[in-house]
Amino acid sequence: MSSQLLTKLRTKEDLEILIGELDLLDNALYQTDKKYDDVIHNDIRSWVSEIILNESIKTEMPVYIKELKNDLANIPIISASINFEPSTSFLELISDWLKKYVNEKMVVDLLLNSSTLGGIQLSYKGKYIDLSLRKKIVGEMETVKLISTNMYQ
Amino acid sequence: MDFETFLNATGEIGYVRRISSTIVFCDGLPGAKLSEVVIFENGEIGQVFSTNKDSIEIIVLSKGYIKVGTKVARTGQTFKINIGNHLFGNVISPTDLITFEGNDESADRIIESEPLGIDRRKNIGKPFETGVTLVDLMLPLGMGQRELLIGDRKTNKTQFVLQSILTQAQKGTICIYAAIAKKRTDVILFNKFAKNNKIDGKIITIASYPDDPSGLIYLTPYIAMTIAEYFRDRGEDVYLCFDDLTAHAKYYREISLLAGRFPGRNSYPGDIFYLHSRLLERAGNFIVEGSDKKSGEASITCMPVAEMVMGDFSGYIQTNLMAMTDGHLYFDRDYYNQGKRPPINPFLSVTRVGRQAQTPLLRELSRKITSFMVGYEKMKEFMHFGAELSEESQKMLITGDKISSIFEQSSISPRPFSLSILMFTAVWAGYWQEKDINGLKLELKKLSNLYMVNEEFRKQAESTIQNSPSFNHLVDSMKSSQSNILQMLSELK
Repeated sequence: MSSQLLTKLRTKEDLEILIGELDLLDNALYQTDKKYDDVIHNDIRSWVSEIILNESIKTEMPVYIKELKNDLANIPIISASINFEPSTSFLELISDWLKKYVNEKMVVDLLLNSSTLGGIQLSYKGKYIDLSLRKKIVGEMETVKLISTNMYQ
Repeated sequence: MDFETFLNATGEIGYVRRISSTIVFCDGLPGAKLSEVVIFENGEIGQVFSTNKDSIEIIVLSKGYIKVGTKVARTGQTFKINIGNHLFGNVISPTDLITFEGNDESADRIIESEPLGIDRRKNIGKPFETGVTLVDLMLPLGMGQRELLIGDRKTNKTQFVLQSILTQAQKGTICIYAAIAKKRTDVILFNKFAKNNKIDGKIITIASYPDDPSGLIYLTPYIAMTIAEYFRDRGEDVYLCFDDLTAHAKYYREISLLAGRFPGRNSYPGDIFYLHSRLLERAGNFIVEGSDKKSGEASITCMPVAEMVMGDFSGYIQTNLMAMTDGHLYFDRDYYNQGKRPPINPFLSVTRVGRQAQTPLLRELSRKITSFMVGYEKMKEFMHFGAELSEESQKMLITGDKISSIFEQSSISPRPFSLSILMFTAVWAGYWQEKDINGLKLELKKLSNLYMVNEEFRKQAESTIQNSPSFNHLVDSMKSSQSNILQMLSELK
């Protein structure tokens, strides 16, 4: 199953909220009457409930939730450390680019790390790359230190 | 090098997801290999224990404060130890030795190395002197032999180790004592013993304690073996003792259970045999190339200690170790309670390769003692029924008692080979026939003093032993010099 919801997620935060909403729905199974209606109309964001209602017509709700949860567990997450609080438009820009060129289901886990000074540190499925300003500066400093040591020798 | 440097160098990151005592489960690090060293964000180090599809298991080697979410980086290195003469005389903890950054190929060694193949091994041909008469005469060992020391707790196993270390260190062999999860006081006493006997310059002690992380305890024997291999490759004979491998197995069981391995017999993991066999296979007698490019011989004689419960020979680890070694010395609880020292039961002990290293004279002597002692034990059993004995049988019992008293040896008093042979031959030849056991013990003590003090006597005794082609010849020459020796002994105070 490929839900529309998966393509709408942008950040890890969005993913966690969605998982929380699905948990609420899951728990509603044990209510005596109007099992899911109350939760769908009151506790879940409207655009999410709209998609859920549309997609769950063909299958039973518990099966739908289970499959959706399985898909969410395997969603690719890229971690990015930056040194500023990103705006919504910035987040959209990054997310759209990732969805277009890398994976349409990919979400970003943004971490605020002021020590990077600028640039970004990325890690994905255990791979890591440091494109931060700090690394550049440290590298330059090492070169300067080496040159000055050579000069004095 | 710090965490950041390794992170940038390898380009791989992992995050701690679950902590189970000394085992940490983390995701990421797609290129991590078995036994690779990893470094945590807070500078602590660990070793990859196992790799799964989604996660890797790491043994942490420090009592650290790792939290879920901590970053981990690969180092691309395995554990090494820096070996040299600075190790002698001190008690060293595995943490003081292990590193993963050194590049000095002459002194740095990888802990997990493959045992040398058959083309680099040689038959055991040199005898190994323990200084314990019973072992040297009845259960001889060879240089490069792997002999298991097995017995209940508190049956003088460590005393035997001390005695053999003292004998070997005095002969110039390098001795390595690996104390695995031993009490601190025991290790201090051992070190004190080495210093008091002035053999600390020949001894390396690697010690881990019960409160150390399990990972460190697990590595202790491997580190000791790596050090032994270093000295072997320099052409030196090494005597290595693991005290004890049953404790090692218990700590490995703890690690394996924490890592979720399927428990087998007695809850030990399936690879417990491999764990010890790959260690003991690294000992033996080897052909080595010295600095002068000439090939020579160097050995690693290994004595693992195994503790058993209530004399149960059929324990899992104990039988595993018996299968890996070239024999075992059994420290009998009953013998200990009877006051026999050392309490080694020669009838339940085995030596598989030691005899081939003996001289023909010693081999004959050993066979003679063994067959006599078997007959003596049978006779003693027979005595229980209150049977009347013939004169011959009574004579046999008296001789047996006297020979048994030769084997009585206080804990730290090693006896040279020649002295043991001399004592036995003297009794066999009929010296001190009129003396009772206590009188004989006194005479043996005098003989021992004479041998140690009088160099001329010692040389004469050694040359008599060396020049005797057979045991009968030796007995005859002892008989001919009986009056002479007894005269010398009577002059001793």
